Amino acid sequence: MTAYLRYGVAADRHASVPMEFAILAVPFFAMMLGLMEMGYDLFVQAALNTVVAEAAREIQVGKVVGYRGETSDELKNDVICPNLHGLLYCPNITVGVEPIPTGLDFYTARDLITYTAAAGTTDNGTTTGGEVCTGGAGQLILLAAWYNGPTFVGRLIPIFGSVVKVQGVSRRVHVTYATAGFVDEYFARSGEPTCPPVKKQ
Amino acid sequence: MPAGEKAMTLRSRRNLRLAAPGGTSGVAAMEFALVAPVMAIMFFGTLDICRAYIAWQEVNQTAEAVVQAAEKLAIVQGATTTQLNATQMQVAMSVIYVEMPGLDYGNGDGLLGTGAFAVTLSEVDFTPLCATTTITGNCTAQTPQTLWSSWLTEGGFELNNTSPLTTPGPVTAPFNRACGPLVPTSQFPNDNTQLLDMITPTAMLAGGATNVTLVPQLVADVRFVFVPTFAVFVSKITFWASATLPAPLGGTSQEVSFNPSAGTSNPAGTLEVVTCEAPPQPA
Repeated sequence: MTAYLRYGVAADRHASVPMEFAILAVPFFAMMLGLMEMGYDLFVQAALNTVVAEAAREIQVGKVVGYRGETSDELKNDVICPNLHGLLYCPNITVGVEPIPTGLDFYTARDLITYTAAAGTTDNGTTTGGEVCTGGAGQLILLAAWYNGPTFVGRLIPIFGSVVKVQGVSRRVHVTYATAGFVDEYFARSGEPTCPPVKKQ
Repeated sequence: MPAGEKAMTLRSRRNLRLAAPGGTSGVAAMEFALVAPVMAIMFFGTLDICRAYIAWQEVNQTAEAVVQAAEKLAIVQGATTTQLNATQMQVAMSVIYVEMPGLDYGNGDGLLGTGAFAVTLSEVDFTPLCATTTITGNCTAQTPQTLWSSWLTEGGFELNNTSPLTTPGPVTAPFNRACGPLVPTSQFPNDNTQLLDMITPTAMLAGGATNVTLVPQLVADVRFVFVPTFAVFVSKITFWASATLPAPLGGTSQEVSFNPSAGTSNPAGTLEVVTCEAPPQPA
């Protein structure tokens, strides 16, 4: 008590270590969480790459066919989710399929599908996504998939991660992205509607 | 321990204690300063391993996707021949940009940065050493020959010979599979002799099976230079993968020819095509 009176609170060093730790804890835990997040991202990216490759093959051979005006529902439920074997949380996946307009190659059309378009007018996370179009024989097809996983660092330092609307609520997430390109070999049966390619935005 | 040294140690400890009358000020910061470099190395090490694994996976998927796209583009319904022009080769090889979206050329999410790559699309024919095109019991080997080879490259690709995962190769263009039957291993990581092993089980070539026909193969080779975060200390790694598919049948010919008539501007990378003479037919 005498010390406090004589030198003031500044002279009291009893709590300096916890204080310092409180300051250093932010970068320390950010690094720890960053390590966890990278490991998790590796897992998600590997799973997403695999499932996108499998979905591409199934679209290519006509196992799943989507026409202009249809949503990515069927694609997700019939192709994407079963191939995930529970590795990822299916409602967090957003997927889009579009034929590449004539004259473009996979480089010039690699950003043809935007997240907003793939997520659709309704919020991502519901069972209804944006329009898909699986094209026809000989067309170049682009398949894009996003996964909105948890961001560990983003919880601690809000500048990390991305904000997307999931089921009506803005959430800070870690977005993982995978694409595949292929040449369609599915010949539409007679009477099936056509699927004109969209213009690149 | 000599007596003098022991005395020095004791004195040093006393001095330390005397020099820090406050006791514990700055201890946490000191500890963090000691731990931070270790953690930083762990952090970037983990980042690099993750990126390298993804790159490796995507390089393999790219090789498969390129050769598949080329095979489909070579087929035109109703046509009696299968052929590819420069534009179609360009399109097939540009699949790398979507199979590896982390490549940061103009767009992309940048996970893999501007790592240089070279995609090679070739057609390799197998001329039997026996009189017919069908291997029978006595024909033990076939000679692979490149018919044509094209490549798309970006980022100033060069093989890094110091990398443990790389076999020696050309440091500059051309990146084609060399023409002719004899391809020295130094010219391509996965030369035509290895290619023969890739598509044909050894038992078949050794005469274990009859009537094995080796059809011309479309071959995609993808090489990608992975640049680690600490590229100064850790050497760059060149990942490579090859994939083959039998050339599609067009009419009676099962050889995808290069059609030089049609060509177009290259929106990305540098595309080159090398055509080789037709392989000599056995007498």
